Amino acid sequence: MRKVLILARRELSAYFYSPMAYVIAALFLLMVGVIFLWGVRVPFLKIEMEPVFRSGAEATLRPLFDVLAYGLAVVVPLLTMRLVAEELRSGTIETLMTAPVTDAAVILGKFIGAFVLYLLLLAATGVFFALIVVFGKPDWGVAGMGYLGMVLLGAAYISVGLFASTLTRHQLVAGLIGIAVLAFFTGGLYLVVLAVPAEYAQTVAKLNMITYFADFSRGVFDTRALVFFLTVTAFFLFISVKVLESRRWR
Amino acid sequence: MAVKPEKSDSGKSTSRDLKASRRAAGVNVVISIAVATALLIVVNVISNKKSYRCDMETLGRYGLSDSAEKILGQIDQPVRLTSIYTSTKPDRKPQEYLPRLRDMMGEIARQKSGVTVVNVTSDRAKAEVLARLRRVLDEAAADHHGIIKDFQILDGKQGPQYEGLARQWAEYPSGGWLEQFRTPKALEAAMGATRKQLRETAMELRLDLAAAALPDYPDMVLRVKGTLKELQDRMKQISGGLRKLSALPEKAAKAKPELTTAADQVKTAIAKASGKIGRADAPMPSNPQKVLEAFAANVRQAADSAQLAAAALERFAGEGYILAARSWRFERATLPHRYHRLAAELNRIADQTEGLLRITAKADVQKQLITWARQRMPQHLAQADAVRKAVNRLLDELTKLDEPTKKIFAGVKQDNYLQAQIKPLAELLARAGKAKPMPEHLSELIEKIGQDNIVLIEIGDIAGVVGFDEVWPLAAGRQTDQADEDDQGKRVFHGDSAVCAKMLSMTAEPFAEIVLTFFEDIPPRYLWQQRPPLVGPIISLQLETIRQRLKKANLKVTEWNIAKQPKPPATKDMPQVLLILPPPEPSPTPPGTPQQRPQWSPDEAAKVRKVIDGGTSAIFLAGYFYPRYMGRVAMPAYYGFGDYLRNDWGIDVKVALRVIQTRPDPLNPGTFKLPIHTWRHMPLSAFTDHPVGEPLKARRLYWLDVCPITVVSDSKTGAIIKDILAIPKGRCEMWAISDIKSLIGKVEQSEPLDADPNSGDLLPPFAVAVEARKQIKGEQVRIIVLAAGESFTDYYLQNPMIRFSEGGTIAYDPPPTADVDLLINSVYHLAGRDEYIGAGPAIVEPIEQIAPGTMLGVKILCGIAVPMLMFAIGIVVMIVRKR
Repeated sequence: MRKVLILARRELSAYFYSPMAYVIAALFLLMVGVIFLWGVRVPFLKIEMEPVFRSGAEATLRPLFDVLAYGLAVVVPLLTMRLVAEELRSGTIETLMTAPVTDAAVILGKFIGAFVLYLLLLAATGVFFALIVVFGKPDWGVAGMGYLGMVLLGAAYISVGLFASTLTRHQLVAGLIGIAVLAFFTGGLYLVVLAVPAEYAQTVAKLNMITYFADFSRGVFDTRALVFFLTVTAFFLFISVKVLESRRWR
Repeated sequence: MAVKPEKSDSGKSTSRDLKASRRAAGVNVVISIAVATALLIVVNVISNKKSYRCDMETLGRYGLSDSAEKILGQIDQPVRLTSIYTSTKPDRKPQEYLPRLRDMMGEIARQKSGVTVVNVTSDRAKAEVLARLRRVLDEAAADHHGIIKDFQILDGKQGPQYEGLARQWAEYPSGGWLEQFRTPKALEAAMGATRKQLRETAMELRLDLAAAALPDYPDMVLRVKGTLKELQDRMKQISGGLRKLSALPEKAAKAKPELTTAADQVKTAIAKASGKIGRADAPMPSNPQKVLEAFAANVRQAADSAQLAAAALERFAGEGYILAARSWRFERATLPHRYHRLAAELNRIADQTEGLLRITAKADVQKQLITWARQRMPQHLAQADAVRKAVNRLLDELTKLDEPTKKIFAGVKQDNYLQAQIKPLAELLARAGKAKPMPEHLSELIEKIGQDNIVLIEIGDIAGVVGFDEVWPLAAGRQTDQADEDDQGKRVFHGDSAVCAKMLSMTAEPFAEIVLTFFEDIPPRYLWQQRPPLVGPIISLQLETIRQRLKKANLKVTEWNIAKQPKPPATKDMPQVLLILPPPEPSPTPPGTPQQRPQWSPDEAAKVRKVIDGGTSAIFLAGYFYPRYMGRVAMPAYYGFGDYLRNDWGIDVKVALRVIQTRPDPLNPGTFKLPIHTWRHMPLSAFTDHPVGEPLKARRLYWLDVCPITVVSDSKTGAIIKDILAIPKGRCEMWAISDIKSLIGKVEQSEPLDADPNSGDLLPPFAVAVEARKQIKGEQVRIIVLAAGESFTDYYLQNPMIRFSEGGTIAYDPPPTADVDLLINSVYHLAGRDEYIGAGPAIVEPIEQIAPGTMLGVKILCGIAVPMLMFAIGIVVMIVRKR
């Protein structure tokens, strides 16, 4: 475990020693700020969302989280794309694989590193929640569950992004694979639900990560959602390990 | 240094081993991934079957209410919930209203197995749903469908027939017998119009069947019936008319001798009278007196014969078709009229002659009269001759039938004419009259399916619709009950209760009986002048909306007219709740009046009291009752159950006071102004935590003619009274006024208003709806008093609300139908079914008003400065790293 933590710290440091973490954080906060204070309006896509923070609106971060759940499907793979792909490209993966750490420890360390960065980004949204607290009376139950949902969703997204990063030595390709997989498990399945007959729609909807996140977003704790996110995270971490392992015998 | 591999047998085996170990590793990875996938699926399936769910939201907005859960628990059939939110109206945007509904429907699907949830957001998907419903509807409306189809077949068959008939009449020979009545043209037009009407109705029906999502079959059959009846009547009228016309030649032939004789006699009589005075060129008689006397007598006879001729002609014509004959008219008047005029002229000549003879005996004056008469009489003779000829012409025309007409009349006389058309019309009309009525749920479906943004509920074979206003009712005002302009369009989510209540009404049998209790004597309308209807301020006939809503809420509705029945209808298997309307004020019958009418008296109130004391719950509808004026003196308002409620329950219903809601007058601090629209639609949602009113707290309800209810301070009734809807202390903009006339005067003069307790005004706190309970003969009895009775009448619940929108323009809002929910909740409560009371929308405290300056600061700080700061740090790190 110590080795995992050392690897995690290394990954986190790598983020902060490069301008990447700051750029991503700035973009993330800008995106959250726009949604929170100005709302979203894309007429040609029929997307219209009032600002979350406005006089007379419900004092909640729920609409923000609901949009972020989709937005993070793009942001998180950008965050994770370099995790293994960069090691593959620069050849440092060989060093890492000859080091006295298991593949699982490598993957877990990288996952924790990215996850901590994600948590820090999420913590930054506390500024917006503070505004809600100052100007309204939010429901703490909904807020707490919303943040828990974001944490679990983020973990699942990171594991998918990490898995994508193990597949190729090109960061951009890894990022695109991650975005494509997450887009399928969020928006893609949503479109499938609309297309299939109602009898099958519910089954298809159960594969959609957003379906489970929606429970947390509205303040409902459901063990089904918890189990789903944890197992999905574990599954993608496991196959990431397996992909990494395969480098030894390929 | 690289080692060159040796090519040897052992080298071959090493390569084979490597391949084998690679394959083994690959298989190992595939198997482990497959196992992991299987594990992922199994764990999630298990967790889906056995899960723990907890709503951490304090207000429970996103979970299902207890009542909804209980209702769902009772449904044992598969349910399909379809939200059809496709409206593009700005006040009904699916983006705004659908997500919450979708959450709720998802929650229902999670709570209850066998519930399928479908969200329809596109017109294409909506069309698919409608097509499915259409199949169900078509099956249920097979009878109606058959009638509509047969009507279209009838159009196909009879259309050409009418065209043929129209053509036939168009080809009728010019100058034919019927031409004198203008019949051919009229019948040609009638047949053409019939063809057109038939085709247009068939076309409308075809369009409705093709274009309407769910055709309104009952309405279509009604239209078919209307058209068939009209056509049948028209054809019968034509057939009957022709039959009457066909009898005319014979009639004319019979009357000919009499009429020609009469006409000849007129001429002869006038000629005879003219002969008495001689021609104009004849010498003047020597004895003019005698000549004039004989002349007057003969003229009088001629006038009489003219009258007789006119009468004979009138008798002949009767009221029949002869009146329409071309020859019946002569020189712009009818023939009898000509004879009447002739008779009048002749009588005038006779009168003048006789008069002159009476006043003078002078020969020269009499000679002058003879000269004058000699000039006039030939004209009358000529006229009589002309009319005689006209009579003969008429009779000739009526008796001489041409061949084509003879043929037509042959059919008419055998009752064959148009029978081929009338019979199928009558048969189809009879079938349409016997069409089975459409099941109630389908009628409602047809009515509501066209609305914007609905929820379709299908349970088994039954389908129901929950409308947008039921799922998203208007929200109560933010700070007070006064709906600010900002709040006007605000809505609250009520879908959980609305959908579950609908499911309950679709599946459950009635579980309680509402006895509409009133004292009324309404005689037949024609007797109203002698016996005006005896009714209270709220008339039972004005409660149709309430009746329908109560039935839909799984309640059986019966009546007890105290004026006619000694006790309420008996019931065995379900609890009864009396819904008691205010009785009419007693007006003593004057002594000696023959017909004694039933009158309201304390004895009648005692009948109600006996039933309540027997353990039956009751809801009393009261309200502000306008005073009656005897001259300038206002008579005190009367409430027939006032004494009972005061003495037995300690509840004082102040029906003489009217609650008003004002607004502070900014120009005169401390005074108020009355917004005119609140006079009829007073917003008030100040419900307490009582189970009846609590679910309605967040909804905007409007009331009419509300009166205050207070508790009798020294009451020893033992009743426990709880407020349901109350105006708390400190609501200075609301009070109950005692002098309505003075208030109206002040409003008209734009004078400021303020409450004046010294003149009888009542300041808050007071209630508007209360529940009272007490033990009677060891049994707990409960009553509810709602002092907003007029708010439950059809007039109030069916008419749109007027609102002054921004800029002072008048806007219309839907009728305040949410008021009925208070009544339904009261019934559920009294019937012991609190679990059916809808949970109602949660009250959410919104983000407070933010000053524009503050908002700008927040936007700059959080929206721009923080991300920029982060970006700047990144740049700094990059620069440092480069160095």
